[in-house]
Amino acid sequence: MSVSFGRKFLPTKIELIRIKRSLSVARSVYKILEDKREVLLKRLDELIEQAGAAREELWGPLLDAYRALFDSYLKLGSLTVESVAATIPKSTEVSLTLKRIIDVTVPALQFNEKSLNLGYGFADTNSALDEAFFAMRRVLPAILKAAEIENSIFRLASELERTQRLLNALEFIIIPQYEEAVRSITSTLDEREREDFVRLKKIKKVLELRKSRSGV
Amino acid sequence: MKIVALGSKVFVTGLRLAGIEGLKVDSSAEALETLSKLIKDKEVGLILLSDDISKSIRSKLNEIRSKYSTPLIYEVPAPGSKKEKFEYRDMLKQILGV
Repeated sequence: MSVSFGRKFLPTKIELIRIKRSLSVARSVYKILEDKREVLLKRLDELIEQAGAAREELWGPLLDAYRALFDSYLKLGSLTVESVAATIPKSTEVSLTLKRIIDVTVPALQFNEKSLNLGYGFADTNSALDEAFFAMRRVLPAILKAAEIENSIFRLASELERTQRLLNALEFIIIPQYEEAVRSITSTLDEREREDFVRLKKIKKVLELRKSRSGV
Repeated sequence: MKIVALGSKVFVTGLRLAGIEGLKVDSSAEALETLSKLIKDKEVGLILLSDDISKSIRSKLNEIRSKYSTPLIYEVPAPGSKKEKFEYRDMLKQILGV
């Protein structure tokens, strides 16, 4: 089935059949990939809308969280805030699973927060820090959501690029090469047929001539 | 899996309050260096970058993101940054090289 590119095709009937078959396969692959590109584009469009919305949603809570953080910095001083922050257990984790959309693996983030106890004493802190603590935690799911969508865009986009590259290869190299091969083989075969035909006529003529001579 | 935050002291402290591990980085170059280490860590699921340091290395980031499917990298608006619209379509154009 394979036709190595760059080499001349054998001008035989069997090769012609083979190439014609490959050509039709290439054409149907092209159609399938075209559909795939359409779907990817549509999905990307949706995701872009979603990503914009997710970022928008993230903005308000994040701003609140920062405000609360700055507030606690002001009220407690950076030393206290930072040392308290350093003692909080690193309990927040995500689980990353992969799901497939149209043959592309995209990430899905799941938030698993173990417990929501304040990991610090109340002695040298005040409510400003608590507020920052809770505000920061509140904003996390929105961040995860936005991160998930944005990274899905990346995955889909690189798949789109790959698909486009394949389409280009098919459209501008592989299919034209097959078509050229079909053309050249058909013309060679036709030419050979004509030659044979002429040769046959000639031989027939010679034979007839010989026959009539010997007959005389 | 872990979440790791990269950014200024305030940014890192804020996320530390939410129980997220944070690494303080001062410059984009430093961030990139730390990032390349974190990518290889199988335990890291998500990297949050503060966008004041990520802005100048965005094209590098996009490169990393299209090369590695995990961990995810996300740019979070930095403390005190202005609200701006994130142009996903531009980003897409950049990835596709249109």
